[in-house]
Amino acid sequence: MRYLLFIFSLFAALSSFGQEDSVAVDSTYAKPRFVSPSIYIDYGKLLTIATDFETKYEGGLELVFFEKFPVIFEMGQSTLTPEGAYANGTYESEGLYYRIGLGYVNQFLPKNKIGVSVRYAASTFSENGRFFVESPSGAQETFIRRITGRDNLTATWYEVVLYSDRKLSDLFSIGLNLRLRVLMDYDEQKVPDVYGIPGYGRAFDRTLPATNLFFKVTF
Amino acid sequence: MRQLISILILFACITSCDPCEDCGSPVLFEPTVSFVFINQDSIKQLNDSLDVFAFNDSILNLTINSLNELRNRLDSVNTAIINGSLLFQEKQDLEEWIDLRQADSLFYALLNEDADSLTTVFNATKATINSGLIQVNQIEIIGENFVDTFEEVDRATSWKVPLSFRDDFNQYEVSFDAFSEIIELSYDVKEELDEDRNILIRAENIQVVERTYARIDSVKSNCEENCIDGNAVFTFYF
Repeated sequence: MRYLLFIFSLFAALSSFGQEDSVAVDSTYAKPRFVSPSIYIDYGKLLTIATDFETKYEGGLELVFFEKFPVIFEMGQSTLTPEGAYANGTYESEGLYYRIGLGYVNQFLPKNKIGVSVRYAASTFSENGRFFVESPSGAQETFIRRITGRDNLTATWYEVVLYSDRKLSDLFSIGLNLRLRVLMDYDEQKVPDVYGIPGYGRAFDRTLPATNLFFKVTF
Repeated sequence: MRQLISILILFACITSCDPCEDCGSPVLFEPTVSFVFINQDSIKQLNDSLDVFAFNDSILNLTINSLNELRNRLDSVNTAIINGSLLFQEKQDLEEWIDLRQADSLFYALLNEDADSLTTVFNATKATINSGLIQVNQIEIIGENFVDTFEEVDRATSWKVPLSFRDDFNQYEVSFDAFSEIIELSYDVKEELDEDRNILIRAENIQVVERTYARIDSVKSNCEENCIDGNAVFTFYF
């Protein structure tokens, strides 16, 4: 809940700034481009390469129509190996995910934009791992079971995304996405159930906040 | 700069991993049930003795009451004779009956002499047996190469036995001083995630397989419907 409040209060604050500066932007009005294509990568996720609990790559394509209405397509790959998945075992979830969405973006400072969008997301992934149970009485050998046969699992979710970017030059900009993800469905499994969904996070969290840092190239 | 720091803190909070100190190491856990053994035959013998004590006591009371009535009647007859009545035969009969009742009361009083102290001891012994406190010499899981041997100091009211991770059936040979019995359990095993995110092997639908025992007369469980490991207690009466 506090994440929601944070996101919406930030959005409200930034929107009010946008209204104050819109006069300046309007005064330099020029006919908007029909479509502005951009590609971007999530450089924040590249930091995960240095960690031992996850590896993620993510990028996207954005087509902004009339400089207001973006159509977004994002794709990513991640390998999740969270240490806390099973206290008495190992775990790995690996897969691809994509998101498609529509939004609205507005210029609120000469070099800054803010926008909001709704995205549908889906992931296809596999899980594997194993766990160990030891007999305290010594009556039997340690129980070891592999979690296998969990290929081609799917999950879908929706996201509300608030984003802001700052132009570095005519070609390059950097930005931030604040996401609220709402899980719709996933292929439930017998115990242990699915733990990590690439692109989403822990399956037992029905709503999850997230953030992305991106580097964008606009053509 | 402050914005950048805020973003990095937010990013770190959201993407931080779960704390886990011993991830990947085995958890020490196995499904168990408890056995309780009640020596019902000994309780029956104690109850029989207590019944005899109670019977003797009631007969003693009846004898004393009868004796008192006879003495009252003798007093009345003696008074009547002093006043001129000719009740000499009744007086003689009453005196004979009083002698007999006195002998009876002395006999039952002698029988009841240690009854009170013995009743206390017997009731305490019954309570001990009913609590399940007993000496088990050994519990062996047949086919699992598992033998647990106990000494006198290991006397206990219940005996916890492990269930299998992999099978749905176990045979236990339980040895006492005088005899041994083989108890068979059937159950279903399942995997379960506990609140600490350990995947555990649990057992449910645990049942004592019906069979003919050498000494055990009956078995009761504390389960209303589904017997699950950790909670299930099977009480054996022999």
